[in-house]
Amino acid sequence: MTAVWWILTILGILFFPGIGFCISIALFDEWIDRKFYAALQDRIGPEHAGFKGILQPLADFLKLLANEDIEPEAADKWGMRFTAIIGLAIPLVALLFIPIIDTTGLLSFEGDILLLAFLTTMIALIIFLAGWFSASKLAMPGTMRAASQLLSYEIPILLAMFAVALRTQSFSLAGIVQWQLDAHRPTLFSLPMVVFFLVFLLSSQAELERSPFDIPTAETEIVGGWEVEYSGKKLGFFRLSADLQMVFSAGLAVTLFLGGPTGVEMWIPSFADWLASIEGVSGLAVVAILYYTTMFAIKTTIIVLILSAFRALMARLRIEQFLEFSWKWVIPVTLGVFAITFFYVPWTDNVVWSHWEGLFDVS
Amino acid sequence: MADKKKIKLGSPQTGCSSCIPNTFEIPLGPQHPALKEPTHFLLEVEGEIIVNATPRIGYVHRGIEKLAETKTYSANLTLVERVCGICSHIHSISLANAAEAALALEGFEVPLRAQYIRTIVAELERIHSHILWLGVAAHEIGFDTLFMLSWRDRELTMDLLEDISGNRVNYAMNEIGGSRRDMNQSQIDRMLKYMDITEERMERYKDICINENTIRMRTQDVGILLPQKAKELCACGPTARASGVAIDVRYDDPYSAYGEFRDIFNVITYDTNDVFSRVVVRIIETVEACKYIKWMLKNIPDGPIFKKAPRKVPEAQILSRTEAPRGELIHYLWSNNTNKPYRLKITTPTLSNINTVPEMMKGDYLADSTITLASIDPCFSCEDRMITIVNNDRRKPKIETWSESQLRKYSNDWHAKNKRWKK
Repeated sequence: MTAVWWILTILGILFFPGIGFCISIALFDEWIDRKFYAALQDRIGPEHAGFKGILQPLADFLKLLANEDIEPEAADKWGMRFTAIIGLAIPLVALLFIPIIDTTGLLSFEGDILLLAFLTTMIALIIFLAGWFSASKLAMPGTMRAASQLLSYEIPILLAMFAVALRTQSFSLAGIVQWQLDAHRPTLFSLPMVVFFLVFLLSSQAELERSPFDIPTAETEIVGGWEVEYSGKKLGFFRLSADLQMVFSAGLAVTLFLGGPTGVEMWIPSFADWLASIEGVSGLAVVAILYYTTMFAIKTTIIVLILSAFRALMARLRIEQFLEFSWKWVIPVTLGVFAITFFYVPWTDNVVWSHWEGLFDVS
Repeated sequence: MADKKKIKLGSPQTGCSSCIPNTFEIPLGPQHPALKEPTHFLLEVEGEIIVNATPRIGYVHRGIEKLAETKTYSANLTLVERVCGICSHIHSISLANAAEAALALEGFEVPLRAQYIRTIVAELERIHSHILWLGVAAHEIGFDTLFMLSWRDRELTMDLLEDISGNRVNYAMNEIGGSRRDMNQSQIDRMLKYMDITEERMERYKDICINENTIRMRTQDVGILLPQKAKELCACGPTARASGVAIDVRYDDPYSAYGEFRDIFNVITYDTNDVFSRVVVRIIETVEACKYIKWMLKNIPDGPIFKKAPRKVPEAQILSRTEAPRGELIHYLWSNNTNKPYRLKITTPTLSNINTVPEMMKGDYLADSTITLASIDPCFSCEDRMITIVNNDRRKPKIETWSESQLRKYSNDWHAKNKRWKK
C-alpha cells in the first residue's frame, strides 16, 4: 500500500471510474432513455440543451438544486434530509463494485455480491423511510405500495444473482467475469440463465419503479406517491439516485450475464493475451481502460434501451395485480429453475454445452 | 353528539367510539395531476379499497347564464361556445336550435346546407373529443405511448377544423339562421381523405385496446355501473350507453341534419358495464362518426348557407336537446319578444354523470379511482352553474354575508387605505 496506490484509489473513487464517471454515465443513460422513449411515442424528446439535448438531464438536476426546498410542518425534517442523502449515496457505493475499467471493480472482495444484494434491499428500505418521514396522506399509500412491491421483486433479484454465483462457482463479481472469460461465453448462454436474465430485467424494472411497475410513484393515482413531499435539492438527489440505480441495475445485469466490461477478447484469445500483457505498461494501459469502458457503456446502454422499450409498451399494473403476478408466477418459476440449476446443470451443462463451447474454443 | 359525529365520519356500524377507525380519508382534488380541472372527491378508504366517495363541485362557477341575459342572441352564440373548451360547437348549435325553434313559430326556416355544415362540424368535434378522452384515459392507467400516439392522430381532425373554421377550439361556425362559413370542394376532398385515415387509425386503437393485456387488466371489472343504476342516477351519453342503455339524442330526437341519415345511424352500446365498456363504446362511436361525416360530405345539398333572421325572438319557452360528445346537453331558453334572452339555463352532461361516479368507485381499489372518474369524460368547468358555501369544514371558517352596500363601503375603505396600490 504505497502512497501512489492510495492517491490513485482516492482519485478513482472521486472521478474515474468513481463518482464523477458514474454520475456522467447515469445522466447520459437518462438522456438515452428519454430520447428512445420519445422516439417510440413519435415525439422528439429533449432537444435544446447541448447536442440533441444531451445536457438536459444535467440541466434538470441543476435546476432542481436551485429550486426552493419545502418541508412540511408535520414531517420529520431531519429524517427527510437524511434519507435524501443516503438514497444518493447507496447507489454510488454500489457502483464502485461494478467492473467498469477493468475485469475487477474499483472495490472488490470475495463475497461482494452479498454486499450488493444487501445494498439493493437498502435502497428499497430508504424509499420506504422517505415516504414515512414525509407524513403525507398521499405518500402513505405510496410507501405501503413500495414496501409490498419490495417483498415481491427482491426475491427474484436475489435468486437471479445467486443462480449466477452458483453457476460460476464464485461469490465475487470479478470471479464471475473471469469465469465468463475462461468459458469463452457470457453467462447468458449457459443453460437456464436466460430465464434468470429475463427475471432480473423484470425485477430491475420493478426496483427502478418504472412503468409498468411505477406503482409506488403513480403520478395519476397518488400524485407521485412517496416522493410527493420532496422538492428542490432533495428531489434532485432522489432523481439522480434513480438514474444511478438504473446504471447500477444495468451494470449488474451486464456483469452477471453479459460478460461485464469484456468484449470480443472472449472469443479471440490472442487479443485477450495482448490486453493482459499491456496491463502493467503505463502508456498502453490507457488503451485497455478505454476499451473496457467502451464495452461497458455499450452493453449498459443496450440494457437501458431494453428497459425503455419495456416502459413504453404496457399500461401500469395495479399493486395487487403485480403482487399476484410476482408471487404466483415469477417467484415459483425462479425457484423451480434455481432448483434445476442447483441439482442438474453442472452435469448437463458439460454434456450439452460442450459442443457449444467447442464452437468458440479457437485454441 | 360527539359520538354521533364520529360514527358518521369514520367507519362503520360495528365501530365503537373508542376503537381506532379502520378507514381514513384521502382527498382527490381540487388539485390533482389526474384532474385537468378542479373538482373534489373525498375518498373514504379501507387500506386500498374505497368504501365511500363524496363529490363536491362548484369550483369554477363563471356566471355565464347571468351574463347571457345581458347579451343579444348573436353575441350569446359566442358566449356559450366558451362554456366548454372541448365541446364548444355543440353549445352554439343548441342555443341556435332553441332560438330558431322560437322563430319557427313565425315561419322561419334554416337552409338545409347550413344544417349539414353544422352537423359535420359537430361530428368532427365528437371525433377529436373522443380521441382526446382516449389519450387521457391511457395516461390515467399509465400507458403514455397510447396517449401520445392517439393525440398525434387527433391533430388530423384539428387541422380539418382549422381548415374549415379558422380556429382549433372555438369554431364560431354558427349564426342564428345558418352557418357563417361555407365549404368548398377542395376542403370536402381533404376531409374525405383525412376521415379515411382517422377511421383506419381508430380501428387499430380498437384492436390495441381489446387485445392488449395490461389495458384489459386495468379496465375490466373496474367502475361497474349496472344498467338499472345508470337509469336511476340519470346517466347519459357514452356513460349510459356503455351500461347497455340505448339512449342517444341524435337518434331519439334528431336535430340539425341527423334526421337525414337516421336509417344508417347506429346507437352504440356495450354490455360489460365497466370502464372497458366505455373505452370500446367511445372508440366505436368515433369510427361511426367518421362514417356519418363521409355520408354527409357525399350528400350535402347545394343552396344558401344563411338566411337572415329577425332580431327579436318571439315569446316562447324552448327546451333544446343535443348530443354533446359527453352526453345529453340541455339548453332551456325563455325568450320574451326582445333581442335578448329572458333566461338561459344550461345543463351539461357531466352534471348528470357525476352522480354515477361514487356508485362506480365503491368497492374498487384506490388505484382505479382516477380512471373511474375519467371514464365519464368529466368536464367540470362546464357543469358549474352555481356556488353553494358549505360550512361543514372541520377548521370552521368564518362565513359572513354582506349586502352590496356593505361590500361597496368595504371596497371604498380599502382603496382609501391602500392608495398606492393603484400605481
